Amino acid sequence: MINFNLKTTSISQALRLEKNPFFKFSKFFRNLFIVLTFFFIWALLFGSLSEIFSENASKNLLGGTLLSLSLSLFFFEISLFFESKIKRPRLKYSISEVSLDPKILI
Amino acid sequence: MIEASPKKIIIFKWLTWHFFEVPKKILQGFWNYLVFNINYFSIPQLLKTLFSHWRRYREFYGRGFDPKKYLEAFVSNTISRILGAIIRIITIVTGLIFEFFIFLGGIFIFIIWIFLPLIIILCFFRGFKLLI
Repeated sequence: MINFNLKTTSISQALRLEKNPFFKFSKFFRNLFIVLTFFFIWALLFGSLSEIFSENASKNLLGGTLLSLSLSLFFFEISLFFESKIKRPRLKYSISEVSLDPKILI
Repeated sequence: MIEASPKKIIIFKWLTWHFFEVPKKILQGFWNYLVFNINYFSIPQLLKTLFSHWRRYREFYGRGFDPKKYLEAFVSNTISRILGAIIRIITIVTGLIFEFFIFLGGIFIFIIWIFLPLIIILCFFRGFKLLI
């Protein structure tokens, strides 16, 4: 007899991980940091062209740009990983194959 | 009991996804673009017919021995072939230039993807250092 544990399936794991705030809000944070990156780039360009900011302020803006860029890339990677790998698990065998020969899994 | 999906620590899942699965997909996509470009410019066909007449503009030599007619047809056909070859060579070279840029773009994306975690870490610490 074959006991099939639904809780160990990839899709069940994906559903559990979907509730994890780290994955749940990854898209939101990705978009937020992309907007912040563009804002910092715009402020940096504006500041360097008009020379209204002090050297220290420009340094802070560059730091903010790099920080928000790195965080947007980080959340981009996390959301992509979740969407393409976790949410769409690749099956070793199709359902029709398993239904024809359940012992294939053993 | 059958394990429907072997338990794997998520970090290992991410490592295999980032360094093996996605690079494979990037290379496949990149290869598709290269093949598309080759076909878009019909490079193999153009190479096969490099010295064919331009738009099939050709003159027939006619029957009998007529040196003037023969020379006329020969010169006309040679010009047509040379013109065809020039146009085809220009198209082939243009296609190869595009191919080169697609290749460079693919290599760039591939390298950026492989080093993305490192880029993220470096940007983060550099940005943090500049802020404080």
